[in-house]
Amino acid sequence: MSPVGAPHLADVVVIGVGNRWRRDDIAGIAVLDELRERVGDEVELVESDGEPTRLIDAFERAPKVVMVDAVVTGADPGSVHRFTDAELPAQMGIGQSSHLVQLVETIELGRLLGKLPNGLVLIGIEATDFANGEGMTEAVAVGVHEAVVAVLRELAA
Amino acid sequence: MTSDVRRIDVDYLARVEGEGEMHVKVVDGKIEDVYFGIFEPPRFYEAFMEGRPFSEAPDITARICGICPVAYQMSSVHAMEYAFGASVGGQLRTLRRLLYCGEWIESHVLHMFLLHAPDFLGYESAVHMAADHKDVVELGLRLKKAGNAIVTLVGGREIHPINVKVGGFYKVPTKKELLTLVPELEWSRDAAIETIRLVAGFNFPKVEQDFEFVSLSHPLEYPFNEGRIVSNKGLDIAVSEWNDFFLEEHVERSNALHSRIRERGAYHVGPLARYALNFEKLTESARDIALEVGLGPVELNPFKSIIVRGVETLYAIEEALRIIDQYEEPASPAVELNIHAGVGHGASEAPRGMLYHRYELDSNGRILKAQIVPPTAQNQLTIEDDLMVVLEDSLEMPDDELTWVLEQSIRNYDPCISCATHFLKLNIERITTE
Repeated sequence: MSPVGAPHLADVVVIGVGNRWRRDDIAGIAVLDELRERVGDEVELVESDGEPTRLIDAFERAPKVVMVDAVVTGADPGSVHRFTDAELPAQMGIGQSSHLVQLVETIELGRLLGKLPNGLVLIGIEATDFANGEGMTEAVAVGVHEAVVAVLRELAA
Repeated sequence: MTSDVRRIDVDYLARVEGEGEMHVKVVDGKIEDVYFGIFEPPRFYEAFMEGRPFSEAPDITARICGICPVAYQMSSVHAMEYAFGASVGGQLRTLRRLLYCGEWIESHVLHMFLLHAPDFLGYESAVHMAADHKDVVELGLRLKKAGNAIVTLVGGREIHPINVKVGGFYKVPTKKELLTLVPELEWSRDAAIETIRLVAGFNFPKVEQDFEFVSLSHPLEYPFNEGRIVSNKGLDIAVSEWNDFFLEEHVERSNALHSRIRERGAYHVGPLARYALNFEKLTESARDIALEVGLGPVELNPFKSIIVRGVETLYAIEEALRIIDQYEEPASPAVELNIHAGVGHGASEAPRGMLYHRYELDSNGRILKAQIVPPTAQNQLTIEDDLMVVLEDSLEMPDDELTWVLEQSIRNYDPCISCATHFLKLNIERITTE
């Protein structure tokens, strides 16, 4: 339940997707870690490794879904993007993914199953290094702070 | 004379967990080259663990795979306990089986419904399938949740469970907590039977291979955590003898090590192997439904692994119910350890097949050397053999159909290349930073 004074926040779930052991891939989770400090008591924060069925479960936790993830679009590392589910082309990631069921595919699946009645916003942090190991690229770490601000903006909207 | 060279390259295999590639070269109607490659992360983790305390191995290795963290934890704790001469029995041992049941349900259901069923039903992906078969996808999602619930309760967390330690658990569940799982597991038992009937109705390419099946075998149980390593071609060894009978070798073009049985070659681990070598240890209802839908006690068609996954899911549900029914909270969540230098071996049955760990420890229990042999590395040669057999039968197909059936054959093994990253490859050229 949300505390008095921030009733709208209870209506949002923030899902951070990533792998803590693949360098920049931690970006989505790093955003979550920072949010935990700032709004952890007011907003439901869910960490995900991208596994599709649990992601779909997480969609059901609140009417509004904000997802944070490392993305690769060719922009400068650390750039922060904002996409709505409608903007994420459904064909992306299907048949050309390196991931088991791509995130976009999972979002699409969630939508088809009626789990995203109010849509979803994806905050993407442009990442570059996905090698095994710990520690983000400097620019991506800066992008994480920017992404936190972007998520807070979504929470206030 | 010009040669007719036909090449099929799939650089990223969808619906394979992690990263994989497949290359096929056919020259003048003759198969010249078949290659299935994976990018394998355990090498990184093996190096990463050196110098770390034994107690960190379960948590570190659990991160190798988001889908089967329990398997990595189990093989690592068994290896450490072997090194220290510790015995974890009674309800602690049973709880480990229960945790494993949860992981099998999760992993098998995910694979059957979201990754493999689309192949059989002619859909490019689970999304395309869901548009026409929403009820099937929903059945799968609910069934999988029953597995999630077990892993969360016994493992302590949804992803990367943290409650497992060398010697037992940090905290054991109460009987009352376990009983909360029962109603959904009872629903799941019926759902699993429905699933088996559903997938048994798919069309299966007529392919059979003279596999050497390898799995753990225990005198009393369908194997999860314990047993000897046996095969249908006479292998019967202790887990500690793994390196005497198996060989990992570097293969050009891949950073992964391929495993083979010394002086024999390819072998097959996973549901088909476990089933063939342990059919009698299944529950009666799992055996009955298997035979009813047309499986023999040994199944040699790799495409029918999807049915066997269904049978193993039913087994895991029934085993979970049995364990919960007989459960009594143990007096202590873990046994005492006598830490000393040594070598430990552990093998357990990950959903995809046997997972072997070996550790060398110093007198303080620090890891000097780690060896992790995941099931997919063990199946790699067998997967290539299967691709060859399928190709020989299907060369007349156009490229797109051929690619489909080849990818489908790879997915028969639910190859876990783990370590999946999660970035999106987007082609959108639009920046909206404000």
